[in-house]
Amino acid sequence: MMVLIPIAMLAICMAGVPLFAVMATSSLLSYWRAGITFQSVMIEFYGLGSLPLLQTLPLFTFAGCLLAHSRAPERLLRLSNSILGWIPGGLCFVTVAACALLTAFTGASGITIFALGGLLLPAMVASRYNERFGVGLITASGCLGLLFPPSLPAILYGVVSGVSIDLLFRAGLLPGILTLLALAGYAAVGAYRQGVPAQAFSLRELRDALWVARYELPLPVLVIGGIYTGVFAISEAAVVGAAYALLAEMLLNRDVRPRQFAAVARESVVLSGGILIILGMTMALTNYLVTEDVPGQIFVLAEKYMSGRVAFLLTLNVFLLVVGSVLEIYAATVLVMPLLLPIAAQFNVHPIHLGVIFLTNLAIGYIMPPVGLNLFISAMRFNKPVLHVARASIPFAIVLLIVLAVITFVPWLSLVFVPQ
Amino acid sequence: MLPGAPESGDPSARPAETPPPPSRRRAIEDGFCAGLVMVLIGAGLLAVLRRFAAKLPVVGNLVLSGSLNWPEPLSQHLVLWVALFGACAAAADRRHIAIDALSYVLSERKRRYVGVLTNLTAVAVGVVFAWLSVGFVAAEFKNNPDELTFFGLHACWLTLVLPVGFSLLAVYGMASSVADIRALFRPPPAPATPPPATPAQQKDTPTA
Repeated sequence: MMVLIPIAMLAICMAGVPLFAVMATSSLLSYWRAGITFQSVMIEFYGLGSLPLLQTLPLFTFAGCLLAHSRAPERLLRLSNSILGWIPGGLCFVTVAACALLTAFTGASGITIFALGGLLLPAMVASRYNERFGVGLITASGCLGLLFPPSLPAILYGVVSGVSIDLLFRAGLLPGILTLLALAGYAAVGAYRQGVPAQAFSLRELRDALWVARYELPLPVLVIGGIYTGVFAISEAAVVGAAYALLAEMLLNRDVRPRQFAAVARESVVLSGGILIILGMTMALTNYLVTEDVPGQIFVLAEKYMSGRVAFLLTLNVFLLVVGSVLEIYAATVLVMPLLLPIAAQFNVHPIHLGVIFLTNLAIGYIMPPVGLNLFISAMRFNKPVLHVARASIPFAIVLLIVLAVITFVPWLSLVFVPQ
Repeated sequence: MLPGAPESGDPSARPAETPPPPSRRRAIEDGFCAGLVMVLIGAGLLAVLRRFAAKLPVVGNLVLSGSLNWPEPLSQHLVLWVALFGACAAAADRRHIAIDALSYVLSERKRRYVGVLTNLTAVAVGVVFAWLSVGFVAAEFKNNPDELTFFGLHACWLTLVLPVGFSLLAVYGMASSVADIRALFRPPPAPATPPPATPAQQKDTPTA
């Protein structure tokens, strides 16, 4: 029975049963096997409301959906280009910066490729970039930004693992910047080799771009600045961000009309509700696994085959890259983290460092061939074969893997701003 | 401006696409979701105001911080509402998070059969949890009848969202299953009939 339950659950999971139903069934079967009343599963689910900071999830999702439905991505791109476009290979920096900022707000990198890809690729081709190079860079950039506030996967990691989300965002600052610089730097070298000419800097264009984006500019200042400076707690930043996005896109820019507002609200409720119900159903299962010391048993097994911390971290990275390429990021967080956290603690990996490693891996998993989600989204967006997109993304994936190795084996990068 | 971008200037000047009007059921669901989001934002803003009111002069402090103890517990309860009603809307839109690896290797017809089974599994979960939550609510009414939350509301009333939400989830799942089963037994669409031949075509057609 101990073996049958996970196999049956895996089978119904692969068949496409909604993940919340899989987790609910697993919880019920586990509690039945342990002789615990099913009411405990319901009590655990009801506890969802009291989890700290969980109300930020629907609020940030709403702000992200609202921005994605407006013309904010276009204005953001124009502004980035007017600031960074004059640097040699400047469009690469523009691509990386704009994608990271939008992904931080929307949480799901697929939206970024859809929203910005159609603007960025023609711009790169017009600037004499190789098209395949452009497709690869945009596909890879679509997975960046998950370490910066108000990234929803980071918030969910904090909720599931119980670590301070505020500290997690501080920890993600240096690794996040390193990732952006590495990818943009590599792309800029590629642009130089292709002989792409730099654009002239135009003060007038910068002024115009700033004017056009005037209503969106306070948003990152309020949310990101508010969190890093400590003016707002994360829950407050979520509220202020959602309220300001509503004000900017509905009243000031009027990109989203009142008739569209309800549809945007529905989309955000569907997205966050889909995640929250899985989380609620998993809470009971997590409790069961901890009570039965399943992570401890896995640790004993892992210790047999892994000689130490380095071997564990290497195995962890390979495992998470595979998980990131086949599983949706929220599902992966809820499914994998409760098991991984206690095992990582046994190998002396700090939970916040683990969070940074985890999010970086899952982000890179989005572009890992053959099944990374971004490859398919890019193939659809740019009307190219998936194999073409995968080949185009491989050099950028290698750069990101090198950065991942640095982030994994230099914990200082993640823990320098975390009080010990 | 980005190279290769259209010359239309300010992108915000272009009108946004207007979606087609939703059905009545969908309009009600959309309106409910919009209300949920607005209450969540409103309650959150009041909580933020209350914190900043501590720095205001005495009057502001009295007005804002004295009686505003309810936004935070309300936000916490709304998380449950978003979870359950968001899950219902996801079921209606068929947008639940699922791994769905099998669909890549199955034919269209087999995929539909599997789809019915997966939907029915979700319905079963909805029914079981609705039944469990009825027991949970009954226990809350019995054990904590006097516990008050915001606006003098008894806490046990708030737990009603559980049976309502899970029942709706089962109903939405059932509706999807019924639609899938109907689609399975519906005869395939007849091939489109060719348009009547033009006189010129009739002339070219060889006759017996």
